[in-house]
Parts: sequence; structure tokens; C-alpha cells
Amino acid sequence: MTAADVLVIGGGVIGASVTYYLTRAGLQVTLCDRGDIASGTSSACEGQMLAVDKRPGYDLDLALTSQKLLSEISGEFESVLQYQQTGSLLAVEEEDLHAAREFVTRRKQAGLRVDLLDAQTLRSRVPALAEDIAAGIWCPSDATLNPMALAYGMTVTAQESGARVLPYTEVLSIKKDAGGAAVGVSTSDGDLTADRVVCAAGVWTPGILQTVGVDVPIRPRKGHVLVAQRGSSPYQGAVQEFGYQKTILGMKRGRVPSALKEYGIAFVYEYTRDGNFLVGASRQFAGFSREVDPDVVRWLARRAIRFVPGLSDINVIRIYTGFRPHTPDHRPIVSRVPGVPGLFIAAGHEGAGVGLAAVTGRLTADLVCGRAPVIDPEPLQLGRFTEGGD
Amino acid sequence: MRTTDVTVIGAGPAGLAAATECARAGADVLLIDASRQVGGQLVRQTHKFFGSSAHMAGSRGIDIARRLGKEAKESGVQIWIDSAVHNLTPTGEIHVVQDRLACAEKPDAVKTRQVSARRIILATGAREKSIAFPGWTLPGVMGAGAAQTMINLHRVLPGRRVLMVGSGNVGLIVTYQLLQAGAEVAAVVEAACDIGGYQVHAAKVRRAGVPILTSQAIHSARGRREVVGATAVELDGQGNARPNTRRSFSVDTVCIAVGLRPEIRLARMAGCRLIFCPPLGGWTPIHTEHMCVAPRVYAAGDICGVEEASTAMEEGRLAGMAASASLGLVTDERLRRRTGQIQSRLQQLRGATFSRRRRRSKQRLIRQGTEEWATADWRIYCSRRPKEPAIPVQAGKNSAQLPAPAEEDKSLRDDTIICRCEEVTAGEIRTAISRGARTVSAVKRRTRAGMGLCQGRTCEMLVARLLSQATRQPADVFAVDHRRPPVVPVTFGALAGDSHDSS
Ligand SMILES: Cc1cc2nc3c(=O)[nH]c(=O)nc-3n(C[C@H](O)[C@H](O)[C@H](O)COP(=O)(O)OP(=O)(O)OC[C@H]3O[C@@H](n4cnc5c(N)ncnc54)[C@H](O)[C@@H]3O)c2cc1C
Ligand SMILES: Cc1cc2nc3c(=O)[nH]c(=O)nc-3n(C[C@H](O)[C@H](O)[C@H](O)COP(=O)(O)OP(=O)(O)OC[C@H]3O[C@@H](n4cnc5c(N)ncnc54)[C@H](O)[C@@H]3O)c2cc1C
Repeated sequence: MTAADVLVIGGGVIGASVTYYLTRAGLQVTLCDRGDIASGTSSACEGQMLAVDKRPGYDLDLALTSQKLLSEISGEFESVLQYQQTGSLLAVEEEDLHAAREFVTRRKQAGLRVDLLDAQTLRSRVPALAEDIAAGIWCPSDATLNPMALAYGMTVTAQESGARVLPYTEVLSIKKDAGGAAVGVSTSDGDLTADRVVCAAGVWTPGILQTVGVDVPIRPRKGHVLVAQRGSSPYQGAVQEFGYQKTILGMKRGRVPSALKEYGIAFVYEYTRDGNFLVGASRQFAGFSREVDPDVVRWLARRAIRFVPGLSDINVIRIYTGFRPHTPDHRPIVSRVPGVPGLFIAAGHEGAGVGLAAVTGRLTADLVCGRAPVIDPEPLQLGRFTEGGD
Repeated sequence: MRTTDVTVIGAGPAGLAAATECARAGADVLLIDASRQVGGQLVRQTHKFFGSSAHMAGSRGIDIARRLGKEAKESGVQIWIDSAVHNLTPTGEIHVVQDRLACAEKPDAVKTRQVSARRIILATGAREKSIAFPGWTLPGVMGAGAAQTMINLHRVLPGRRVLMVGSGNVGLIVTYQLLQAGAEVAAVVEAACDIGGYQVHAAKVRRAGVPILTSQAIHSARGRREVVGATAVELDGQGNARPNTRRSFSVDTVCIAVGLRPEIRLARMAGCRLIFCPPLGGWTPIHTEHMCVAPRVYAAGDICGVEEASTAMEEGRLAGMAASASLGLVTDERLRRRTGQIQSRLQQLRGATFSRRRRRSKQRLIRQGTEEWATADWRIYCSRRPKEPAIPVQAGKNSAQLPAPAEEDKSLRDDTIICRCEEVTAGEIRTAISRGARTVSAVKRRTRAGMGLCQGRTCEMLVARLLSQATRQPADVFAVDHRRPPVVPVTFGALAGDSHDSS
């Protein structure tokens, strides 16, 4: 029973970043996770920090702010973040050429550095790509990092400045005082009191908020990832098929096999500094089952070979699945919880939580401390999902 | 997809006997093995086996393998060799990758196939345990199995002068075979205070002039590019090194024979419940007296606790009998009679050759399996997710009375490499533990130990031992193999499958 200024629930990239920024703001923070740090989605994902895939306007600003914040602080972390600004590449098929041109124009107008590479330039840069790929969208400022290293780095740095980290401590419920304000949590290891509580439990957030009668529309959107043998990488950077943009937003895709649509499969390739590379990804609503579905794997492998034929001979050594915290409008929730003073939520980043971790931590700290926010928090309010909310 | 009545995975003595039993009962049987010949461990055994004539004692392992293989074929078993099972799905599909070994040079020729089976028999045997010490990643340090493969299958000497670590039967037999092949063995070191293997084997080794040094552990291997020497150290009763007892050997090879553990990865995928039994090699699926480990799934041989070829064959017969009976191919009456006969032979074998601890563990395993089968509904084969904590907690209880085997010098240096695929040191792992990692997978996430090509097969136990030292719990409590496919590396091309069904 120790009192803290703020209690953070969940030690994924989001909770770690919230803890880091709150500690930096001078608050006494306790972070608890029911497992080890980064034992949820943040260790079952990829590590791309992309701006190119964000809608120009607020979403792009959010991503760019996050990239900027991270580059400011990355030097502080004891663990190597494996942060590398390799740039990102979207591989465009013939039928999407028109859409790709428009995509690039809109981003250029918004001030992002992007280029449309013609087939020849593309091939000279990434010889491993299939010959019929019509074009590439190149964004040099995008980066990749190791999400687990990010979470560990941020928590260790916070710990060194006085934060308390409690792994293997499961929050059972949020506690309120007579006036209805959050005053702490009860855990598998006893009660913890705090002036304020931030729930950053990713896809598990709804269950926790339910204990104070608050509905949060976050659902697990499952993804499969294949890990390839070290030392076999055909390209040392990040590539996605342009069609992925459509999958994320649930737009109609052109002439692709129905299984790809059913499983929400699009080719995503990420080289990691450890020398492996990751190939994804699928997007499915399939509850909380972490089961590897061999049919999804089959189609993932087929899609990968369609874009990089040379993958055919390369070994997959591991397959994992993770749950993206999906919200109905694909935007995270970084917000006070209406009706429960002292309670905040930072969750629902779907497939972008690694990239958005820095800005989320910073913005949450701004909200908790009542400081001027680093970016307009309005579009991320929880209230937007309820009737009459904005 | 190939459909079968029974698919047996693993063609060692257990799998061969099981397959033959089912085929003789009239089942359509497929037997799958990852290696290029059937026989499992037997194909490396050039010595004559003990036991009764009913178990082909007096024959060499390799000849027993041939005979069992011939019997299986003659009874109508279809055999796929060079076929590794890389996944078992919740719906009971078996995913196989074929010709990995034959096509090592042209991976695009590797094929995948799928099999559906009304009954599955797991006979995947056991694999070697490992230990870490400074220098263990140098060329020249190898498992006893590898050394045996070199001398008995490929006819090449692993080295001129060898230090053998471990005096169990494997260590003693391989020592003797190394001598026969023309190598010198400087000594056998054994961390426990007694010799682990049979006296006959030990006597043979001693007669050949090789000292067996008990209460001594390997301390380090020396060398820049390869082993040029090794040091052993004396241990006290607690497994700590006694000061000033180092003894150095001039050797070019260090052979590790510190025991075998059941190969349970497919069993995990099949949703089997596990129990931790040090006398049987560690984590073992609990099973009924009919070798049933989950609905529609049976297991036999070393996977159910490391024993011997003779017991493996008998367990295989039991599993085959029970699987056939459950398909209606064998009457209850016959099942009862045969089971009775086989059980009494097993009892005899275990009575004669095994320590009380081993026999008791096996009995407990069966008792627990039979009870669970009767009371619980075994939906696990479908759900496949036994609650994570349930296993370690239960294991802790079971293994609390049993001291962790003292296999090495406990004071492992921080700069010793533990995960050789990813080059993670003991120091890095200790840091991860001090920061809060409490499971093998938490250590893996923090350090990458176990993320490499072997997927933790080698280092998992070593990480577990460091966790055990830090938390004062028995080591094997922490080491449960992950359940995720693929069990062996599979190419993208093979995973993508046949092109004809891609729409
Ligand atoms: C396949 C895949 C690929 C992805 N690729 C990318 C990418 O390239 N780039 C990118 O930016 N994003 C990517 N993402 C998304 C990103 O991984 C997530 O948005 C991000 O990890 C979410 O972080 P989080 O901290 O909110 O959740 P989590 O990491 O899940 O953290 C939540 C934590 O809360 C803990 N918890 C749960 N319940 C309790 C409780 N009751 N008490 C205490 N603790 C509790 C959990 O143990 C967990 O550690 C990907 C996701 C997937 C699945
Ligand atoms: C050095 C040594 C000496 C021995 N001496 C004797 C002795 O004198 N007398 C005696 O009775 N016993 C002896 N044994 C023990 C005996 O060899 C084993 O107990 C016996 O072989 C176990 O049989 P098994 O069928 O359970 O497993 P194994 O013989 O280990 O066979 C398992 C098979 O499963 C296959 N497999 C595993 N995973 C997969 C997968 N995913 N896909 C496809 N196939 C797979 C393997 O390739 C292997 O062929 C000795 C063992 C050793 C190592």
C-alpha cells in the first residue's frame, strides 16, 4: 500500500512511454503489468515507425510529432533501440498506379518528403522485388526500431529517475472514492493507491475499464508474422505493398484472391538490426486466440513470394501472432475518462502503436499535468464514440 | 491431403512397433520420420543390446532397427522418411516438410504435405541436454550424439583426444565406441558423486584405461579457433567448485553427454498435459496405461520419459493396440489381454533395469494420466492452451523433493555465451532477470536468447538454470518448449504450398 502520484496500468510501448514522460515531468509513477514489461502486443508486432501511411492532416501530424519526439529522446536510453532511419518503400502494382500518384501528390502537398520511383529506379534500389512491380513510393524519413527495446529502455530510464515498476502484478479493478474519482487499483498483489490512474493496457483495456462501468470500443485485430532465418535478407529496409493502405482502411481491393481479402493479408517486410527479417501481415477479428492458422500462413507466404520471388528458398524459423488494439475510426484514444475524475486512457493504437508511442506518452503526461498539449487532444477523445460525443 | 487411420510420428523403436501393431490390426498406417532412415537412436548403436531375447537383446542397435523396419513394411505400413512434421493443427492436421535433407542444396525442391489422421501416435524420442561453460561454443565441443553419428555413420573421427562429460549410459557407450574407432579418451568426468550408467559399461571403459572422475565438472574449454584443452574442477556436495582443484586435460574434443530430455514440442502442440519428472529426463506428457495423451492422440517411447529401446518398443505396441481398439479394429477382450501381457513385460523390464525413482515416476505419470482421463474432459487437444502458470506451479510441487542435478560448476562467468545463435551471454541474461524477467520467454524477449535458428533448443535449459539460480526454484520448472510452429525451419516456398490450389 504505497501512494503514487500516478499509477500506470500496462507495460507495453504505450504504458512505458507514459511512465517515462510522467516521470520526466517530476511525478512519482508506479507502473504495473500482469506479466513482464512488453509481454503483450508490443512483443508480438513489428517495429515500423511510419508517416507515409498516415492520412494527411491530423494523423500525419501525430506521426511526425512522434518521430520528432523519439529522435529527441532516443539517445537517453540505455538499451540500444535499434533505431534506424532506413526509409520506407511502398510497392505499387500496375492496377494501383493511378491511386499511387494521387497518394504521393497529397502527401507532398502536406509537406512530407515522398517520391514516386518508376519501375527502373525501383529495381535498381531493390533488385529483389518482382519484375512486374510498377512503381515504388519512397519516404526517406521513416524509420524502424525494436519495440521491446523501446519499452525496456523507457522503463529503465524512468526507474532510474524514481519510477516504481511492478511486473507480474495484475490489475483486477480500478477503485473509486465516494465522489466517483479514481483513487487507485486493486491488484493480484494487494491494493495500490494513486491520485490518478492511466490505463494503457492495449487490447485488454476494455475489461479493466469495465470495472468502473466505462465502455471502450477496442477490439483485438489479430496479425500473423513470419520470422526468417538470420543472414538471408534480400533487402535491408522496410517494404509494404501499396495495397496495404486499403486493407488497413477496409477499402475495396482490386483483383486479389478472396483468401487475401478474408484474412486481410498484405505484404509487409521489415529488416531488423539483428539481421533477421519479418514478413507480415494479416488483419482479422478472431477474438483472443493466439493460434497460428496454417491457411493464413500459406497465403502470407504466397503474397510474400509474389512481391519478392527470392523468398521462396528462405527459411521461416518462427511464426507469431499479436493483437492490434483496433478502434472504429483507426485512431488511438488518449483521453480523460468522462465521468471518472482522475482516470485516463492511452490505448487503441491498432497497427501504429510503436510509431505513436512517443507522442502518446507525451500527450498523456500533458493531460495528466494540465500542461499545454504537444498536439491537439480533441480528435483522440474517448467521448467521440458515444452518441452526442464529438 | 492424405487421410489415414493412424499416423505415427517418429520411426524409432517406439514408432516402428506402434505402426506395425496398427497395421497388423488392419489400420491404414503412415509412419513419418525426419531422418533419412528409420530406427531413431538405434541407427547409431553399433553395440549389442541387453535385455531379454523378446526384445532382441544380443543384437546390435542398428540390426534391431533394420528388423523393426522390415516388419513394419511387411505389415503394410507406409513410410515417409526425410519428412519432418513442422506443425500439428488444432483440427488434427499434420503438416510435413519433405526432402529437407535430400534437397539441402536446392531448397526450392522441398515440398510440404498435409496429412489428416483419425489417430496420431507421437514417438518423437528424446534430445540431448546441453550445458554451458567458458569455451563451450568452440569447434571441438559437441554432443555425444553428434560424435556417435560421426564415428558410426560417417566413419570419421571427431578428434584424436577426447574429454567425455557425463557418465550415464550414453557417455560410457560413446566413450567405448570412440576408443574402438581409434580415438583416445582422456577421462570421463561426472558431476554427481556416483557413476550414472550401468556398471558393465563403466567396467568396460575402466578396463580400457579411461579414468571415470566423479564429483568433477567441466570448468572450461580452451582454445582460440578450436579446442586445444579443457579444465575440470572438483565439486562439493552443493555443486560448488572446490578451490584449487582445477585439473587440465590436453584434448582437442570435448564430448557432452549430460542426459536426454523428452522431445515434447509436438506433444505441446497436441495439447498434452505435462509433468516434470527429473528421473525421466524432465517434462513429460502424462498418459494413461494405454499411452493416451490427449483425445485421439497417443505417445510412446522416450517422449514419455527417457528409458530404453526395449521399453520403447513395448510402449509402442501398447499405443498401437489402444489406437487400433479405439478405431474398432481390435476387440475389447483382445485389448485387455494384450495390454495385460505388455504391461507385465514392461513391469519386468522396469523392475530389472531401472532405479526405483525412475519406476516410481513412471507409475505416477500413468496414475495421474488415468485419473485425469477419467475425471477431466480433455478438450485440450482443441483448445491447446493449458493455462501458462498451471504447468510451472504444478511442476514446482512435483519436483520440490528432488534436488536439481548438479551438472556443472554453478559459478558460471558472466562472459560465458549461453545462446550461441544470438550470442547472448550469462551476464546479459542475469541483467534481464534482475530487471524482472521470470520466464524463459521473458528472458528471450529481453535478450534474444532463443530467437535464433535453433529456436532455443540448445539454450532454453541453460536460461532456465540461470533463472533457477536467481529464483531458487528447480531449473526445469522454467523450461517448457514453446508450442508455436514451425518445429523445424520451413521455407516460404514450402509454406506457400502447392501452386495448383492458389486461386
Ligand atoms: C502483427 C502486428 C504488427 C504490428 N506492426 C506495427 C508496426 O510496424 N509499427 C507500429 O507502430 N505498430 C505496429 N503494431 C501495433 C503495435 O504493436 C501496437 O499498437 C502496440 O504494441 C500497442 O501497445 P500497447 O502498449 O498499447 O499494448 P500492449 O503492448 O499490449 O501493452 C499492454 C500491456 O498491458 C498489460 N495488461 C493487460 N491487462 C492487464 C491487467 N489487468 N493488469 C496489468 N497489466 C495488464 C499486458 O500484459 C501488456 O503488457 C503491430 C501490431 C501487430 C499485432
Ligand atoms: C548411445 C546410446 C546407447 C543406447 N543403448 C541402448 C541399449 O543398449 N539398450 C537399449 O534398450 N536402449 C539403448 N539406448 C536407448 C534407445 O536408443 C532409446 O531409448 C530408443 O531409441 C528410444 O526410442 P524412441 O522410438 O522413443 O525414440 P528415438 O529412437 O529417439 O526415435 C525418435 C524418432 O523421431 C523422429 N522425430 C522427432 N521429431 C520429429 C518430427 N518433428 N518429425 C518427424 N520425425 C521426428 C526422429 O527423427 C527419430 O528418428 C541407447 C541410446 C543411446 C543414445
